[in-house]
Amino acid sequence: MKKISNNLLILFAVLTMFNSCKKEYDLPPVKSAAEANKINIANIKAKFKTNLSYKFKADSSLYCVVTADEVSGNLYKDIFVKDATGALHVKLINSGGLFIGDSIRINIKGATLNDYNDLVQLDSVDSEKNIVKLASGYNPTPMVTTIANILANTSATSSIQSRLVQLNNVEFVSADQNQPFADAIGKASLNRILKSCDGKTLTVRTSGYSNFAARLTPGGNGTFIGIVSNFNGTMQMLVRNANELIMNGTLCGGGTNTNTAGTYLSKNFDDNSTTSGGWTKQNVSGTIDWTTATFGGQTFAKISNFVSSANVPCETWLISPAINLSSSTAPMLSFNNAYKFTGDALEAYVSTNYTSGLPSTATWTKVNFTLSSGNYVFVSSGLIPLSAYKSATTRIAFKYKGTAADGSTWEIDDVLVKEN
Amino acid sequence: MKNFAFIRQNRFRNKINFIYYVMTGHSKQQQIKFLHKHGRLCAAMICLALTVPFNGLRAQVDTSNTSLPPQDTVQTNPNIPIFSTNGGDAESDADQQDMSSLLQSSRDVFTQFASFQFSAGYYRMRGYSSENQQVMINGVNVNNLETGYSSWSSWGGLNDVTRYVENRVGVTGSRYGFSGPGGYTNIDSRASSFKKGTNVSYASANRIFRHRFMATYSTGLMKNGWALTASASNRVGNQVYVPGTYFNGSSYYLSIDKKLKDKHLFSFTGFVAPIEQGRSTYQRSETYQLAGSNYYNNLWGYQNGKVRNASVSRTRRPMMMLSYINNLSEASRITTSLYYTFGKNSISSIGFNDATNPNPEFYKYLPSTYYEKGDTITGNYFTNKWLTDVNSRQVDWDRMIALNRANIYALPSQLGQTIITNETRARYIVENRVENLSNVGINSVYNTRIKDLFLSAGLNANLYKNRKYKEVEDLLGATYWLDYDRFALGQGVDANVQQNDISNPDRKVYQGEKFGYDYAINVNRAEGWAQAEQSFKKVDLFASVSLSSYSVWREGFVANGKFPTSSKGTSAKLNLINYGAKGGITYKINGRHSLTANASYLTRPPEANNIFIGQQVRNDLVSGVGSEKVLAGDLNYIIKYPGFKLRLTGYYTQINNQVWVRSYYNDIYNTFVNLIMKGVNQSHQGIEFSLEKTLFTSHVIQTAFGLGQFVYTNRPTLDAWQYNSSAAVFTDRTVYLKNYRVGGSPQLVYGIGYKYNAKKFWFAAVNFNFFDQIYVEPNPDRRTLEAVDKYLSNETTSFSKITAQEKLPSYFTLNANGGKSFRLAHGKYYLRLNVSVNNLLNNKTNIIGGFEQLRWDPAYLDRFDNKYVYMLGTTYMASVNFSF
Repeated sequence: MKKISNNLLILFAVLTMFNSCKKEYDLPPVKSAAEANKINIANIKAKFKTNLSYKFKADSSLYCVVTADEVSGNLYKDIFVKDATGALHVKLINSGGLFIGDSIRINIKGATLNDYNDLVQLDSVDSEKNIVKLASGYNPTPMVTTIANILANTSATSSIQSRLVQLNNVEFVSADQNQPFADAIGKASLNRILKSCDGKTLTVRTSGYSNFAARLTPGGNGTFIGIVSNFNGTMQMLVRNANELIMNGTLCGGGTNTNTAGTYLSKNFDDNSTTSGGWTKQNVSGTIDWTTATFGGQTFAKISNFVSSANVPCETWLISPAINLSSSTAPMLSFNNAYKFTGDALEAYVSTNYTSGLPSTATWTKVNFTLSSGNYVFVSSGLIPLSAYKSATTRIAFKYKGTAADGSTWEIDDVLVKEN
Repeated sequence: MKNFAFIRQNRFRNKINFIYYVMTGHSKQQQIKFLHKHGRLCAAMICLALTVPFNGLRAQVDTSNTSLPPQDTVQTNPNIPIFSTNGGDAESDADQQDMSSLLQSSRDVFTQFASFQFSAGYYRMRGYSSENQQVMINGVNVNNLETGYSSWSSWGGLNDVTRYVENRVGVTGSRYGFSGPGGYTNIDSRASSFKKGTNVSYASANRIFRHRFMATYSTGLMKNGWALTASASNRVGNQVYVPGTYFNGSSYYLSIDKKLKDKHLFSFTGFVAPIEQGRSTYQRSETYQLAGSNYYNNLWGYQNGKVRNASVSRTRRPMMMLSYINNLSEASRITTSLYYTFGKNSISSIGFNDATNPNPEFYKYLPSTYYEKGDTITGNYFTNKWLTDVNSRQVDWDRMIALNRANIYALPSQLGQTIITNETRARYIVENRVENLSNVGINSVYNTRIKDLFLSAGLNANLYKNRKYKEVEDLLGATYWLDYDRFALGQGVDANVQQNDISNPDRKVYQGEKFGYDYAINVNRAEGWAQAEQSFKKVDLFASVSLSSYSVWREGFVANGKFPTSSKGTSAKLNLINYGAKGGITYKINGRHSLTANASYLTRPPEANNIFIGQQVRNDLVSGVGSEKVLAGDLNYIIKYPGFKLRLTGYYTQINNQVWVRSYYNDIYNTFVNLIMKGVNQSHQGIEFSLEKTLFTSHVIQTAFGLGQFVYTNRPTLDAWQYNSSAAVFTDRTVYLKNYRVGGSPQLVYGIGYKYNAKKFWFAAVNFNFFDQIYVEPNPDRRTLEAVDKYLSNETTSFSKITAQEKLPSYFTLNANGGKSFRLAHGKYYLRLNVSVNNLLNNKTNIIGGFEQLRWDPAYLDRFDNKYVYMLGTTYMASVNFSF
């Protein structure tokens, strides 16, 4: 028996050894970091020649940090980057995956250096194949400068080009205060003019695809953060995110900020209430109610007659408080709206004689507006003139209707009545 | 359309259900002697399976299939066909099958551990998937000709009549046929094999089903030469452990034998096990965390307040066999069987078109997708939805029905006309992916003995046809479904492209009708084999050879708009001639000790599902596909004393030239992508050790140790194709797969058990098991140069994230069982009680399986992370068995 167990032990040991040799994973070959060439933004820009494009043919690594990304939609297939030697616009052939503060390495092989209307750019960069994210969270600090300084550096290769900057004590010119940044409906870019108190002005250009396109420009003086850009020699600014603009101070020359000037009614539902500010809800039929909801950081009023598997017939109104338009000049109503699912369209009404109770106790006039294309895409209603309703008791209302057969979900936000 | 049923169930999951069991060390003869001597039943011998008297030698396993289900992608072992039930693949069949090669008991201690202890951790002996083991009923091979898998669920619940199992593991001789490297299992279920008696039993459990009823009646072989055995069982359970799952299975079996003059035996056996099952599936860690449970299941939701599962599998595949056994002489016999298997398997999923993805765990509904981009507001929004709204966390049936009811729709041809209609077009439907099988076969085996030489030879042939199509199960409140391929929208100017059936453009499909695709996979196979076994005083030898022809082709019944000229009609045939040879030697050191050595080399066809590109819509074969080549060998040292058994085995298997096809949904291409890996080689080597020692006649200690290394051994090539285009996405990429571990089975297992057999016919046992070296199956698309080409040698974080193979944590389990037998009315009746409890410590964090999603995004490396499945917590099964 002892001999057997000895034999067994030996066999066991042999088999275990034979089996336990750790095998290394076979991995695809990688390029050696030691041998990789490095290049910086200044080196790249040095290759720039107006109206000529330069193609990089060798593997070269550009180490940089992302200063502007595509998240707000103001950029698409574009990012801006910086390193110790400058800043650069990078045009991508694919979208996504790179965010402000990412530390990245770009292999510039295959990319082209050219300009887009005088803005120098590294073109045709394949982010999937040529950009490696090394780390994130290196949030770049904007360089504080002045409009005057930007205007003084129009050269395409100036170090301020494509730079993330902060402008203090600036404001939009009065015509461009409280105006949408861009045309969110027509998806068209718009220019708004920024000025400093010394009278220098600079264009702020915003894409109609940006998620803040429909937001209104601030009406006060303050801090502006953006990317310096250039369009055919004219310097302009790109906003990364409208939330970065803190402009609610006193205007140049001491004027009060106009953030709420000429506004007779404003409701953005950000307080999660449909009825704050004197708004009321009326159930003409059914019990379906207006509520608030939040999506993508935006809070809005919402209504749907789809309750536990069925469409419930209903007619529900959301009615504003009385608005005093008696001394107004050209009051306009505007709001954003979105919907999804088949059903009756949302309707908007105006009345000058409603007091309380059911809507049928007053005279209401239906007004037309731009309807959402569905799929919860918010659009602006457009400016709806209320000049015909200049009373001290003007009210506006939204009427939602659902049937047993169908019903949409409607969402409205940023209801404004103000001077044109 | 994209199906929402994403995954393929985990076909090993059913093993969770296995019964804890420890067998005594007695041989069958010893036990029967014991029984005779004592005139009553030995209580110690049985596990949970309820058995008739004198048949208690073998543990019974419940083969009920717990399935799980849909996700964007799933994959497992390359040997195991796909898994994604997303309609993109065609293996619903394999899905419903029980992959275990070892569901039956065996006298081999290691095999017992593998079957009843390690199986709960998805352990597969020697890492073999099911096609490596031949499974037979009455000598008839029941491995599926298309997949190679054996469908244990086809006779699930028929425990009483599938009890007599002969099982041999590894390269071994077989008198039934030419078995592969995993050995063979033969279930003897002929009426004349059963003793006269009636057995009824009831079991209660909290695993897959809640209740099980079984009844079996046998006449035994009567004086007039007839024998009849009938058996039926029913297993039911609703949301027994995993939310949203259910099980509803019945099984019926009938066997009639007629013996003529001891020389001729005519035998009929027929059985069917219709099973309907609501499934569950692997999930990402994120959803387990959000749902607060490791048993979160995304496949169900509320419809009108009632739980409904979106991924329901249904099986109804009867098998009938007619055998004639001619005992030519005392020493020779010819067994000829004619058999026929037919019927439908299906798996349901949600199809959708012009609508949002109904899968609650689609990545766009997961907070991490937004947190990753720095969008905390939207991320918080979805977190809140997951935490507070059950209709966001689960399938929202009510919403889908409301959308369907509201969707009045004009066909493109009707645009501009005034249409008055109440008909609504379904945006969502429940569809069944159906496989309708017809397999007819003949099998003839000749056995003869000439002194110490035993010769066997056989011929067998099959005609196999599996028709696959989709049918509408439920229109969810709409009037009709339009037979379009939503992925084909926008694929060029030809309006035909989106038609699933060109000859019926814009077809409205109603409940119960076929749509989508309709084709058959045909397999013709014929094999001849022979074996010689010779016993000498010190040495036993065997040698076997096999030669077979295999022919497979696709036959399309509709012309698809994307492949108008290559989808209808008959594809090219893949014809293969395969051969195999094996042999073994046993050296008997003395009566108690022996050494054996076995080796085999064989070629075999690839899995039929892996030889077509976009099987559902195209007749095109993957180029350059040939037979797989399998080299296997083992060395064994065996000791057998009364009260002491030991086996030590070393094995080595090399499987070469495999082809691997998977498909998954990719929303960047907006279609299913077919990944095809060719020339895959893998090796399985390792040791198995088991020991059993009986102390003081009533204490039994058993232990088993298995250490394996199941690895890929070369660099295969990878192609990718889109389902909506005839152009390849890429071809001939090199996959750096060498030395990656084959995923799935733990590669290190250890178990030890103690059992006490009391004199008063009761027993109690406890087992400890340890599982380690568990790997997640690698996605080949992430192991190419193209996947990591941009990284430099020092950028190891991202590089590793893409290429590293995840090793799952090791874990252990503690199981217990016990039972007691009663003899009533002086042996007229027997009553047996059994209880088993698994995972005594109620550990709910044991990950027993995982896979890498095939979809991955180089820009968001965390977005499509691995999915896992957890072992159930404490579960029990208790049964009472009454026989007379």
